[in-house]
Amino acid sequence: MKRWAVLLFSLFSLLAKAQDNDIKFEAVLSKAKLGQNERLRVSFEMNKDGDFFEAPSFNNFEILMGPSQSISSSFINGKRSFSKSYTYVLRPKKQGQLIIDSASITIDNTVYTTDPKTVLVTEPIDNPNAPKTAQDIADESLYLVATLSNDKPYLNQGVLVTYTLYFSPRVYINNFIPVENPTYKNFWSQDLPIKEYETRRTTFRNESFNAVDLKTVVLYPQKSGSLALDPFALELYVQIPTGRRDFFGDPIMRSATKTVKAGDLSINVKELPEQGKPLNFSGAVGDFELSVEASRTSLEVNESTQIKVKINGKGNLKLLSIPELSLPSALEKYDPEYTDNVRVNREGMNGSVTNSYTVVPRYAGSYPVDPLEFTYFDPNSKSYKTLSSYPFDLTVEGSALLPSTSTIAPIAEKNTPVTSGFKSNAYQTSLVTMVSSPWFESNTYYLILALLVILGFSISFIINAFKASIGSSGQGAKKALPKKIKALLKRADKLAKEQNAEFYSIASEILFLCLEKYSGVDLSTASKQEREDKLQTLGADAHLIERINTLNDRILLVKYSGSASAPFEEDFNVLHTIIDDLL
Amino acid sequence: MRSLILLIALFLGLTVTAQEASFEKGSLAFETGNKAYLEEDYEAAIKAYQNVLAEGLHSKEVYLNLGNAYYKNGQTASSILYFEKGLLHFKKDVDLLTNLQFAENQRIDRIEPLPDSIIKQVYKFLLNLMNSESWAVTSLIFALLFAVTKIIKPRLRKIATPSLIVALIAFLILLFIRKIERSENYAIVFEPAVTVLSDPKIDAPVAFELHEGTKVKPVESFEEFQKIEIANGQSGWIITSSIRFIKE
Repeated sequence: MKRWAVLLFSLFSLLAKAQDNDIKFEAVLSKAKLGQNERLRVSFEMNKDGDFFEAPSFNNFEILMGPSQSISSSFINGKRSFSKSYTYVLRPKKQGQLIIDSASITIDNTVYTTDPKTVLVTEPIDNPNAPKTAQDIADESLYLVATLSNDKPYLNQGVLVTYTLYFSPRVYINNFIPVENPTYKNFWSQDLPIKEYETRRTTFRNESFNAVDLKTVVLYPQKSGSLALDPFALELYVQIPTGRRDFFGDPIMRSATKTVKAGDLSINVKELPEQGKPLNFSGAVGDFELSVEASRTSLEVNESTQIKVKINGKGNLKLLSIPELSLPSALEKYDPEYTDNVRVNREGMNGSVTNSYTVVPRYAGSYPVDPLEFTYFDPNSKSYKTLSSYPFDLTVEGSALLPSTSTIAPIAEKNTPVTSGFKSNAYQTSLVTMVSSPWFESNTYYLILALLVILGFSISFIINAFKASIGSSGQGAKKALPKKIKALLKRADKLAKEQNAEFYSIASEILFLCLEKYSGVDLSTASKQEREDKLQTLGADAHLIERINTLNDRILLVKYSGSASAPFEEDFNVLHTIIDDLL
Repeated sequence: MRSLILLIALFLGLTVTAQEASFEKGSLAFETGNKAYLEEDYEAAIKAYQNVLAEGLHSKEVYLNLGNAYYKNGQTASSILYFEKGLLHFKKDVDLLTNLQFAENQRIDRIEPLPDSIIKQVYKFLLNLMNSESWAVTSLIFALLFAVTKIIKPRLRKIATPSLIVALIAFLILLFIRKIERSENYAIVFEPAVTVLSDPKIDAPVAFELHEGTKVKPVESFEEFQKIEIANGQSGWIITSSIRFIKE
């Protein structure tokens, strides 16, 4: 009885154990992705024998082989394991996502089914079912990836591009040569050299990979919109273990080359916001400080001082324009000297840029250096900010206002004060009433001037008229001797002194001119009698007529018989008295 | 009759006292200005000196002090304006010219002037000989001489006609000088920086830029624009409110 009980118990425990082992029935595919010309092995595996196996329809496949059954059962350490499988070898009929339907089997009076499986069938491949070569391994274990620190930067905002090589721990990299280096059109770029390549372990595509940063570049986009980056390509020389070992136990390696490319990225560069954009914005983006400093602010004429306009901070320092210093024209300002102290690191450019102006004052005075304004866009706060420097004065000592070679102001040449400095205030004054126009522009002035002239003329006229009425006009008329007669008289006088016979022809001319003037008729061709009558009617006295006749006779005498003993001087005097009496 | 005389006397007295009161006020304002200037309260000094001018009174010292106060207060354009105003009334005053030079040195614009035209050269030559007042006096003296010689006839007869000619020439020169002076109306730029446009409209292309304190010559005006010319011969349109005329 006791023995039976032990037997029963052991039987039950066995049964319980068998019950513990879940029944599995599943479909296993040799690969999930294959070319159309490749073969697919499907096996339906179970861990307990069953009956009535029903295979799926395999609609889109051609059954090349199968079903082939295989059974294996083993006892290991007293445990029994069993497996049975039905295996088919299939060839896909078409490309695409194909479904393998479920199969069913009855185990211990229960019907089990497998899950449907999907297979991706692609283009036919060249070498179906060939073992993986070193090249294949290289292909799937080397990747070059470019990452951007910011794929939507603002115009002129720095972006860091990092090229990282991911490689599987299976492969050994011997060397790499860059084959295509990007030129970065539309960007200001600076390579950040990597001194030491550091390998780090990461997970990439759900596999364990080694990663190394090969190249980092800082870019400052110079154009808005979608900008494409040129790819960066590397040729890699790698060693791949074959899995076999040589005679000495060292792994046998195969070498392979592989070109990897990264890039073909595009950066979407945002335009700076128009809203609130100041007029004097010149494209600075970042975070800056502005300072304007003079090496000294108090100096002598013709000494020099340095005025430094400095911008420091972070941002596109090498690309921005430093605001121009505007100074009074009397300060001689030379072209600025540009210096930069800019470092480029992974964060972008930082440091400072400086324009240093040499300024030489030529004139004494106090010159205000107006505050400079500098506007930049702060991408962090997404707003424009305006900096303004502190104003200061340059005090120039010295007494001389040097007259410059070229006149500065039109007024300066009128009367340039050569010496003396700034004139201080006057404390004594005598105020006068402002007049719109000076006295010499008034009508009174014109009137007085006109009056004086008119008065002058009218007085002389009145006096003349008065004298004329008194009657002593002879003397007045005497001066009115005609110019011609005057000239002739002068000549006659000269000829008389020289005792020249020509005197008488001149004297005749004078005589008849005077007679003509006296009588109003030309008497030179008239006869002696006619002349006498004419003169008598005009009221000439007999004495005068006689003298005229005597002179005329003498003239005729000399004319026809020569001037041998003619009394020149005497005749000249006679002529003179005749003229005086006639006119 | 007596009441009429009384009335006239009263009227004269009133005007005289009014004038005297005005003079007193002006002198007082001048003193106030000086005090404020010494205390470096330039705003107050400017106000006081402006009050002197507002009384219709002036002197070269008022212009000098007012310009200085503006200069010290950093108002370059105003300081240039008042020195120039002073020079308008007190020509060739050395103090005003000196300080004008100082104020002008603060300007940003440096404009190379064109060489003077022949008319301008003649004008300067004549003005260098004598100022316009002296020319006026000369014309009067010689006109008087002419009249007198005409009366005292025989002995001085010979200088009558020449003196009339001299008087006439002096008068003509005076007219010429005054004509040029009247056309010489300048203005000072008051804005820190102002664009000069090539046409009298807001969106016209910019011809050039001028800065505070630059002297410009107004040529013509159109609506709110003023055509100006600068010393180097360039011209353009500017908004009238950005300049102030030296002669009002």
